[in-house]
Amino acid sequence: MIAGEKKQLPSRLWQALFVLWLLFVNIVFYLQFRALLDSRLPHWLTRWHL
Amino acid sequence: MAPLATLGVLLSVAAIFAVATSFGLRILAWSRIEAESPYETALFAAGLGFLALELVAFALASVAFLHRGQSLALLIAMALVAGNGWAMLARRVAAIWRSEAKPSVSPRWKLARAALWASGAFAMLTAMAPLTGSDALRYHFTTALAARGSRSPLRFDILHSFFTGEGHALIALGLALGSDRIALGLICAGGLLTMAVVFALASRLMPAAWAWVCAATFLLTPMVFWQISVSGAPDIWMSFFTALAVLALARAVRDDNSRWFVLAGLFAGAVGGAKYTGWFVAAAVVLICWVETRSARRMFLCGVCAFLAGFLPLLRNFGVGGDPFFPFLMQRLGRHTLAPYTFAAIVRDTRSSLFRLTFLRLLGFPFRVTLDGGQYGLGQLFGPLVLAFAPLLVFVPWRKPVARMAGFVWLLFFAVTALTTQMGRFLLPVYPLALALAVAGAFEASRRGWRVVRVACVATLAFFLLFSAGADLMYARDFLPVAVGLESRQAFLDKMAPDYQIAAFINGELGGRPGKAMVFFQHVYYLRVPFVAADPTDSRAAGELVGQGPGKLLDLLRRQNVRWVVKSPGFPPGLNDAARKLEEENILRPVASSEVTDFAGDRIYRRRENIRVVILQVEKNRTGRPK
Repeated sequence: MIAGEKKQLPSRLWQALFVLWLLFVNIVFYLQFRALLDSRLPHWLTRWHL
Repeated sequence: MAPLATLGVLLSVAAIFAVATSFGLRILAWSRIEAESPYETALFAAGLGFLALELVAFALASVAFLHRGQSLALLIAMALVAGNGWAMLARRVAAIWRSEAKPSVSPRWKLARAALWASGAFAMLTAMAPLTGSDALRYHFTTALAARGSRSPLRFDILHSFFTGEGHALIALGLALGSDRIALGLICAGGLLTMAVVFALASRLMPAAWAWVCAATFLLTPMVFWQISVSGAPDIWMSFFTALAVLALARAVRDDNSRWFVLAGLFAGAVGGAKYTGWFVAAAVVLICWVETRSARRMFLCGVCAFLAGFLPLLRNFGVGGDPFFPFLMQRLGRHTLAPYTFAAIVRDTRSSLFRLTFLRLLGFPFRVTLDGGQYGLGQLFGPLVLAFAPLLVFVPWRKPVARMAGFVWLLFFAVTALTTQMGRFLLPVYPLALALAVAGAFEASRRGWRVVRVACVATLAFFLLFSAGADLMYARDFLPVAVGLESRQAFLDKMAPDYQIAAFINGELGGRPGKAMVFFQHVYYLRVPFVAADPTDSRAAGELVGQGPGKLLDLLRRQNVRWVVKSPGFPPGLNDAARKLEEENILRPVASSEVTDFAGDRIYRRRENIRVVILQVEKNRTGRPK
């Protein structure tokens, strides 16, 4: 059991790191479009933009 | 009337597609080349047929001999040569249709495919709006239009005309057949064909459902949707030929078959013939050919075919400008080059605003092209998927030739782009390869039972698909009403085409009057009076006048038979002093003016500003030189 957990650990760590990477890329990527959204969407929808 | 006209244009595009594909099928049959499925054979045939069409149309357009009669004759000749290719086309269409309509195909799958083709139809409908793309109005379409009535499509007052390649032959063909909307339809057809070849490429690396996601993502990616619908740039054909070259080369290596090497070389050359940077794709294909086969003979065969398929624009540019890669090799070839002001502006135009060749900048380019795309040639419009899934590339089945070749071509082209231009949108030719590999990595990782990775990847894909679909819909909103006849062409162009109101004012004032007009704005496609473009950043003669006195400017006006000079709103920085001097001395005399509106900055932000346009008449009777 302990040996199995040890084997799974790198895989879990890898997955967690990858998910963090995905979050980082997605957040930074979509934030680029703030100015464009401000110019296209109604004001009531964009007044609380990040 | 508008819906009927749109239908006529769509039928014309479909007819050209059928002629090209039948012709390609006949050539494939004659060469005894058969792909693994009717679907792939049809794609290779379309590639071969459109390449042949491009080559002949380009040759004719280069000598300004592509008019309506010649275009129709070319298409009829291809249709006749196609012979039993028509029957083959019918059989393949029927075979594809049967496989789609099989009762064993699940309704969900049918719905998914229908949604994909509906998205394609939506892009095609958007493309039916009148031409408004900025670069298209500057040179993609203007060059083809300007060829009428002159001996060459190349103009030294629009130096970007030298950047037109074989893909532009389809634009010239559409215009010669009578409509810029046929040309736009052919560009969109190139996009739909690329989507189909992305599906074929992805199917080699993942199951059909994932391949569908890959193809749908490709089509909806904002960069692709913009390029194939309203941009008026033929670059998407580079993506099509790049993906076909990789597929053909993978088959060539697997079967060690010379015919497939020839085909791969031809498609690689088609990419080179489209744009200077396309030669890096051709070089990558030829190089990987040697890496995979270690055969100089195979590599030579592939290279010669690539050269034959793409050398025509180089020959034309060498003949007219003295440099096959005009104007970038002028100095090295020891020829009289452009004025430093103009050359620097052209180099600047081909590079991103933050271009720098430092180690840190190169290291950061793969990240910043996606995450800070506004500074790197609109790289953000490709979406985050390739960067986001990049760590998963280690799981791609690299043992498969198609994966290795796609990876090599992508890597080499990406590296060269980082070293030469750092322009995100120049990566369009290899985007199908990058996307297919990135999604293949996500599929392989999720197959390992990594549930968290699978969920995260699917969520990222789904969110990007939704975002892209929303963005495309929002973007297309301005273009659809005119395409379906709910808005007049005039009102649409007034609102959406940059510099259109200036061009319309000039047409109204100077139409039918003798003499040429000198203009300083760049979007000259809708000008219908004889003109000399004099933006010093894109005109050889105007560039040479930068920093010179008014006498030289007056010489140019007289030499080029310029009777009118248009201020909109002022003169360009390099010519301002000289032109104002002529104005002060009444050699340039205002005869008409108007207040118009135009875009302030990028059109996508919709900000407009008022501009005063003044037409000045060049005083003919004044002799001597200005003080």
